[in-house]
Amino acid sequence: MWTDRVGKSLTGSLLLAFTTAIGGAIIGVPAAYFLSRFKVPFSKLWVILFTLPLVIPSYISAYSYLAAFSQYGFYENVFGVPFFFQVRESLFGAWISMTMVNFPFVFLLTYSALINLPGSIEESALTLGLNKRQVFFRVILPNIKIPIISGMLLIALYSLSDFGTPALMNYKTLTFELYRFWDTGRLNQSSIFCLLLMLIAFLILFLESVINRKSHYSLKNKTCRSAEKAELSLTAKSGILTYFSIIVFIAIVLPFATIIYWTMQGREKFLLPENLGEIATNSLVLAGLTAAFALLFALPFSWFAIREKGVFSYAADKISFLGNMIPGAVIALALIGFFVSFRIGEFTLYQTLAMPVLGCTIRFLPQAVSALKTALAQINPNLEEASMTLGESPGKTFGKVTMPLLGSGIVSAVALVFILTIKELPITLMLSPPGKTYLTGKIWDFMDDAEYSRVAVPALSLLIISVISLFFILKQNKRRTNAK
Amino acid sequence: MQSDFLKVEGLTKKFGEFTAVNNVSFTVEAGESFALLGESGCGKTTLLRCLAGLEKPHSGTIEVAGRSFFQDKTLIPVNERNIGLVFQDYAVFPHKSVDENIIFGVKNKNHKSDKLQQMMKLFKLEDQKGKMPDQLSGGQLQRVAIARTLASEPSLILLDEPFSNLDKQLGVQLRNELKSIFKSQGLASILVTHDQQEALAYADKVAVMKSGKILQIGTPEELYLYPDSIGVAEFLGNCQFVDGLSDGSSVDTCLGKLKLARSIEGKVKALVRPENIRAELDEDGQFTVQEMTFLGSTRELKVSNGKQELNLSVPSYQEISTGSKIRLEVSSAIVAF
Repeated sequence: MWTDRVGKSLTGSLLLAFTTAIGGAIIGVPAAYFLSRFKVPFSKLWVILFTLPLVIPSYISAYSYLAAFSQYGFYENVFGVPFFFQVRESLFGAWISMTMVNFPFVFLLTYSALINLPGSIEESALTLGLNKRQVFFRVILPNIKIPIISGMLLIALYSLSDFGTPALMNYKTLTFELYRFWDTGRLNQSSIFCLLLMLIAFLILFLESVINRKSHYSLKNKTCRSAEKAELSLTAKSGILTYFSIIVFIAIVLPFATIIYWTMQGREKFLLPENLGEIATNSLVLAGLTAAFALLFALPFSWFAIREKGVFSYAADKISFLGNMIPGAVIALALIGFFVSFRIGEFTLYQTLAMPVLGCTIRFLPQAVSALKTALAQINPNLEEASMTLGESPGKTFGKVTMPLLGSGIVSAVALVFILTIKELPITLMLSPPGKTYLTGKIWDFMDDAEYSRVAVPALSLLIISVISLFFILKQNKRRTNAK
Repeated sequence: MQSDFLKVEGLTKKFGEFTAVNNVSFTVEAGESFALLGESGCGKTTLLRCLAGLEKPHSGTIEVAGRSFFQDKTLIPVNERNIGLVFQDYAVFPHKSVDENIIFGVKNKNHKSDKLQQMMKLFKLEDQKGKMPDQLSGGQLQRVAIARTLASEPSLILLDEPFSNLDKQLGVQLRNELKSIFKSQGLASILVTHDQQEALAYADKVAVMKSGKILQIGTPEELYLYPDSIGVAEFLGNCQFVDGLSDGSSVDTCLGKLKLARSIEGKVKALVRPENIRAELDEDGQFTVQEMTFLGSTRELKVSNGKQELNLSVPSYQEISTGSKIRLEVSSAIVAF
């Protein structure tokens, strides 16, 4: 019985991670190719729309697909027949939900690789006698292979660690079982699932490092142009627009529409949780504190990774990446296990606000570090050296030269950690201090009790806060590209 | 008489409202080295891309070896033109080795290894065999790119600022090598550049471009010594003008009576390049040396007679210093505008 449960959830997790990675590539790669190589109408809007799913928590997308495609859902109401596939308790349901929130990872990595590929490379292949199709398969694809696979591995990692979707869809994965055992107080069994999750994550991380070692240095130099965008025939244009619209409909419109629908449904009674203001404040405080802490740790980590060479900076780079691969539920369990018995005199962190802040900081530090690293890499080290030859100490140089130039990177890092924390489910659920509830926790409670109309308002608040934060990130990124 | 290998007539290319190439016509003979010279933004690269088939012109015709590439409804796609294009940024495929890059465009499987050996030898790349592009220097990358283009046996080679990312010395060396390789194979080529010396040294014939139009086409000597317009004269090298009165065959100036290479009458501006003026120390000379800069092979002088200031360059072994009185002389025929 026990081994059966372990085996089943292991297969469930692996299947989900594998199929989601493939699904992400199937959606993300063509989208990136069309947008970077053809004159698609509203191309800037599409890029934003294909980034937007990142802010939609997987449990909200899962909930909207349940509402749309499960028994007595929208689809059945409109068409009078059940949807082709079963959504609840099926791989398909978990797969579509995970694919739709995670495909932006492949899309963004592939899109940026395609934009950065010098146009002259494709053009010289053409002058050497290749046609467009041959150019794609013999020149473009080999050069974007690594970003595509990296994106797929990232998606696999996230699907593996996701808890919201499997829990709502009742699809059995390792995280799902980990939580169920912990919830019923069986910590020992729970940690078996932790161990398995860690093993798979390490495996994925290992694959990632093997693949990245194979990558060649970019040959981009100052005089490179991006490839020119080709005109599309009317048929091709409408085909692409239809394809894009379907993706946006499933990934964005459906989740938002579901929430708005349920908000309207509950309007007569206006089902606001009585303490929504307090709960939202709790979430904002938690996300704000986490963002501040993550920034504090990320600054030295990223500085060492970019500016210094040697064992220490290598270690800093790798350690900061660890959080990326550890599922939130595993971090939560580890912190509980440690702090439940760790106390100095009367002082303990257990069941305080410090627990979720620490958990989310560990979990999202890698994102903050990578945002800062990108920004830092663009600052000419000569500027720092110039400051020091002018008599400033390294510390003062960092404060007076590096930090101000890093401005946009800092905003991005803070906003990113803020979004991720505000929608993080397992850590807030498992580590919230007694009596404190967060937006995520409230949504979870209502969903668990199938009180769908009550989910709407907190979910909508969460999405609005996330979209605003994403807006800040996009604005900063744009300013940075303009500054170049 | 040699036939025209490439014939371009009335070629125009617009980007929206902006006309990048404006009604351009020229011909290139078989085996000829041709250069398009102009400042950045003058339309020379766009013209080259139209020839390669990477841009679609609005009007005009392009014909190579009697075959129409562009005319009304005809537009041969880039991959069917068999025209080689070498880029400023090398465009060596980063995912392929040096060897794979070089034979990338070789169609006949049986020729691949022969071609590879031949190109490796020709471009002195033997030591780079099997390496990946990220292990190569800029000069080596450009060699690989040109070897790759040549290996595909193009009918015409287009070079878009191929030396501008290289060190000056390396660029000159590669330029000379290329010129002799293309000549020995009887291959016609068009070099696009903003560097006057490069164009003059490389080409049999140079076209000077400005604002989308060709100002003048001629041999390097014709362009430099007898430019058609002040614009061309100024673009090709240091130049200065002295006022004078012309009777059609010679012009009276402060430098004396100068012979004209091309007839013009009335008040004119005569072109006297600094190296075309000879200076002799002379107590009774009308000019005084104001400034002298020693440059090794030459001395640059700034001289004046009180009314006219002139720059000239004299051999460095000629002992002339600031304050010297000198006599000036121009013996060769010049042009005036």
